[in-house]
Amino acid sequence: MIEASDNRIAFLLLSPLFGSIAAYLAGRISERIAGVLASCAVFFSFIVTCSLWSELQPNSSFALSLGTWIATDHLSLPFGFVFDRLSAVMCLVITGIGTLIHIYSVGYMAHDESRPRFFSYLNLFVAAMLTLVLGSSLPVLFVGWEGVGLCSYLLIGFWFTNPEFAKAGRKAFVMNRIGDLGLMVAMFALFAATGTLDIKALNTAENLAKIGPAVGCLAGLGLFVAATGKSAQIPLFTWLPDAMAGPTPVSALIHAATMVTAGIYLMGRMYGVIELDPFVPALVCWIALGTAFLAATTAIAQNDIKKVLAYSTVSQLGFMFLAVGAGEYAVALFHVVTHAFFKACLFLSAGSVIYGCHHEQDMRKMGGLSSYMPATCIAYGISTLAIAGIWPFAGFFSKHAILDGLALSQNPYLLPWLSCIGWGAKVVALLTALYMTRSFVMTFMGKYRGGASAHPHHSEGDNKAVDTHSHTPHEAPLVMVAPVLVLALLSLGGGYYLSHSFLPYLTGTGVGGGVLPLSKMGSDHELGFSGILSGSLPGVIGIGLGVVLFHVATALKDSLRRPAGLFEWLFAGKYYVDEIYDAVIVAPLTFTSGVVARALDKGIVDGGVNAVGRISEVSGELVRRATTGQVATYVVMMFVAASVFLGLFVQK
Amino acid sequence: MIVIPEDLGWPLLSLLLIFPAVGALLCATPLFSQRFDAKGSVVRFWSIGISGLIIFHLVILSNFVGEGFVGNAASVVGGSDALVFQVQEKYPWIPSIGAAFSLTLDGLSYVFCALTALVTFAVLLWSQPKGISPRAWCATVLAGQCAVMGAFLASDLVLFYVFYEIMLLPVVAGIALWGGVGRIAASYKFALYTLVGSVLMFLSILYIGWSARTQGVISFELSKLLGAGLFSPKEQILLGAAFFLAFAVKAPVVPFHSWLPDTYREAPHGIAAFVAALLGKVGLYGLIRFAIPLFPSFFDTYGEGIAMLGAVGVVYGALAAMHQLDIRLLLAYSSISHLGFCILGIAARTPTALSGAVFQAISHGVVTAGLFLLFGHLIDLRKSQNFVDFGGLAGRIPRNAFFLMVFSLAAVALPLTSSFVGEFMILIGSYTVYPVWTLLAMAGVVLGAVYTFTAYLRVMFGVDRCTDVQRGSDLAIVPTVVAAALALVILFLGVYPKPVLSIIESGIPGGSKAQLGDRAAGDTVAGSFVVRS
Repeated sequence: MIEASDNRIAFLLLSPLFGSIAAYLAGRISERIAGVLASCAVFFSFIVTCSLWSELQPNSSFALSLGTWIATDHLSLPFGFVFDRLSAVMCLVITGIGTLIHIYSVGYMAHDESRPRFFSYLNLFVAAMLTLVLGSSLPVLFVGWEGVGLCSYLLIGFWFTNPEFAKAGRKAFVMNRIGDLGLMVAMFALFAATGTLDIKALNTAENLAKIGPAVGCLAGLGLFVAATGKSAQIPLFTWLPDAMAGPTPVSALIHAATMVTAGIYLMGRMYGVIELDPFVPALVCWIALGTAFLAATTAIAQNDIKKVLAYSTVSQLGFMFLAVGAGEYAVALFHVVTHAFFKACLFLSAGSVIYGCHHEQDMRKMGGLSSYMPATCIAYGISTLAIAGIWPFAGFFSKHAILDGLALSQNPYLLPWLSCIGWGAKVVALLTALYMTRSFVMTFMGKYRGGASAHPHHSEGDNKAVDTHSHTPHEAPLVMVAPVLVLALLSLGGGYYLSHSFLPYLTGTGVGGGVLPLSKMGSDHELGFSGILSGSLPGVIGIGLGVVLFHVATALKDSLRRPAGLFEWLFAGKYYVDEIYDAVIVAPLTFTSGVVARALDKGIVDGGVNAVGRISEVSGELVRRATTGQVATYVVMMFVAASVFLGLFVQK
Repeated sequence: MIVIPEDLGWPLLSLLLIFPAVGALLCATPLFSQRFDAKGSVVRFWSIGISGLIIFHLVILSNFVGEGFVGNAASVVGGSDALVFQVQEKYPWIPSIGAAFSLTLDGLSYVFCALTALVTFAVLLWSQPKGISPRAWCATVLAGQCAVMGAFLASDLVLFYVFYEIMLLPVVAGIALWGGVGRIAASYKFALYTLVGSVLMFLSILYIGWSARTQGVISFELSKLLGAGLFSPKEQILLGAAFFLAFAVKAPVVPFHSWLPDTYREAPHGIAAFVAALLGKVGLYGLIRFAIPLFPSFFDTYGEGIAMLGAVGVVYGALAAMHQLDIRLLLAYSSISHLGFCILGIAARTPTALSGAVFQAISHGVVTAGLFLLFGHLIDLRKSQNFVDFGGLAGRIPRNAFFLMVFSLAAVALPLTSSFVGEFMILIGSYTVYPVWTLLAMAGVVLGAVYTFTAYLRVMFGVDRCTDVQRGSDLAIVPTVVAAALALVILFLGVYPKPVLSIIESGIPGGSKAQLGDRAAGDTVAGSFVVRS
């Protein structure tokens, strides 16, 4: 692998960073400029990414070293960046989709007076995310890792006057921090074993041998814990649905397309360590399947359009981790990319719907929107087909590859269960199509059910100017529709376009210079007609079932819109995971904190000190009383003392 | 081989003490009396000028410390193992017992002096607290600076002890005069607790003097005591324990911390910032400067226990902080938690962990001073330090909200802030020595995020409940500049810690744990410090 130094990487990173500052400062002069500046900054990064990407030769990468960061004689952490094929893919997604979402935000946030702050945070996020995927060593990656967590926190709580939103931001930060702990443990363990934290150096055969399975298992688990935090997997997934408190473009960019895929990126980067002990990938696989299933079933019972998409994201991230667990890292990345297309499209369409319906997010108050906002409807429809995995839409290719890859896993812990996991994944694929159809039907088909309430809902913060227009839904302005349509196009053809080149590009089959391990499926993975049919089958069944259940049947009976009985209780209640965490973790922690603060600290530690103080006070008082100044008292005391000493002496 | 540089000819180090001492004394003269200075603005100008002068002087002195500079002793450095105080001044003081007025400056003392100068400057510049005589205020802060600087510069044990006790006076006076409702009790508790702690150290110093004298060393100079191999391992353990206890009270190490919450709650903001940022650091400095080199056996024997105290302190402080409804008590327990990391690093004694502990101490000083000043502004606005009286302030006072966010992020050790560098170095350096305690301390990383962001949420976010706070009551220009300067220091240290790290590294024991252990086994004690050229 040849590394060529290239300063363009600095432009790539600095453009959104300066954009962040410039957007805020310029926004103080004119709020309108902020969005334009921020969009330009990200677009510039996109151009730089394209130019680097187009010049990236096989077996080579671009690098940029900014000297050492933390440097002593015993510890040297360089501040370096590497632009290789994996970074290239991630950077293209971040800056490309990032640009579209920035442009969309110009329209979406047009009535918010804190726009400069919004665009400043959004640009800062892009800078942090680029740092994450470009960092050449784990500490630099960690800078981006925590940086995106910070921006996510700031943007979830963007409308901070709503305490629930602010709390959602805090929850996201704290849960991410638990994950970060895993990454830190992994770093310390790897550093103790090898003395380096450079990603490329860690993944050399020599260092992997030094690490060994035992430390490898610890480090691998640490990395996976980190990934569960960032990528919302069991057990650290509950922050993501709450994160929908942020403005919808934020949900599209951070909580669907980019940040939440950082965990998959990390797995791919560190695959050498992950695979040292096969137990780790096996665990990844099981957790992923569990998360995908749990989130998909929860999504069926949600009525908030953003909550459906949030659980859908959790579920799709589970799909990606299924591929990771099966050792198909490139396939996981493929799903990252196609998912970025269709999920960003879904979120932005949902944003348009919310915008068009005057801040209404409840799908029960929507319906029939296809006639009011046709462009948005088409985009939502295309991306629904894409996420359902229908040929030739984007999701089909990556999902199909995941299902195929799963069947070929050689992991000893997984081998006996492969068909079980495969069927589980197919069920989740079916459920995906089901809940997405439900959301499409509830939003766009049937009759419009909103407009009954006299007051516009301000479920997305109160800062927005109150709409004075009529309460009929309306299509979003062009600045919002255009990015959505571009994403819809990508969801339509992006998967097909990439299906032949993407995996070889990352694994290096045929073209050389791959950064991820070879796929077991071989390079010329041809889909026959039967492949297309069988691959689309779960999606087709799901959609058919969805249309029957939620469109045809609900025309007869409204209550059929949700699953019934125990399932309703479980799904709509989100499996009561939040409640369980509150009871098992939060409450005991609060209790312990009270015990430490009151009983232990005030009572024992401080009380002890005060008691010592009082003892000396009391003894001082006794001495004071004893020194009465009367000779008779002293004589008595002398006599007593003398007889005691005499007694002791005689006894001896 | 121990090397002491010749005198520099200029009292460069004494000036660091003379400036604040003279500054404080002049505040008391009629020069600044009501007649000439009715509003107290002249005395403020004077004291700020003095503390600015000290910063300037330290900038000059930076040429004399750090890697590559071996003072005027370059010609006599022998071998790779030598102790070099890079700048030294020495005057006879009490010749009969061998105590000397001896000041030295090396990388370790330099960074602590720089922190002292920075924090004092920030506290003085921030604002003149209302209802306090400007003369008395400025004199108190400058006197505190003089004493703390003295402790950081002294290399004679007796002199160190004197400064160590003197620095209580201005602080206790400040609390007792201008503190909150419970100020008298708090100042008593603070003074008595730390005095009791240092009595042990005083007795140990007496024993050291006596023992050295019987072995023919009539001096309390650190370098002399180090060079002679005076103490058997058993003596080291006893003396080390006494020193450790004294410094543990000051630092503070859980469970010797209970003076701290009361002090932080009652002290006026500036004094609280001063105490939080500087006083505890004298304890940490004392451990690294005196206790570890003089009594390595103690740390070899009880290192694990000290690491445990550090890690438990991290979690204990964080848990207690989560429960607090009083802003300043929250800051108090968060300080205990953050300093637990330093204790862990000191216990591990690997070069990385030790440098990290010093770096974290410096970083914590800057961050906590900023937090106390910003929260002080909020407390003055609301006339309350209870969280229930706050909420939704971010829209009303955006400048304070911005800086409070920056300092909160530094407090939770976000990468690219100074605290991250310190914590990361401590943890990565301790992991190899005490993995269990390191992992326990890491729980503090999560708990820290919980209480810090909860505090921020309670004050700044949520429904706007502070309708009486005017929009114009945001930070004024001068405090904004101070906050920005402190924030820049935090960012600079976090992004480019290299120069400061190299200064620190030139002043800490460079030997690994194994080397220190060898020395305790009977080798010469000389090489506790490593010289680089």
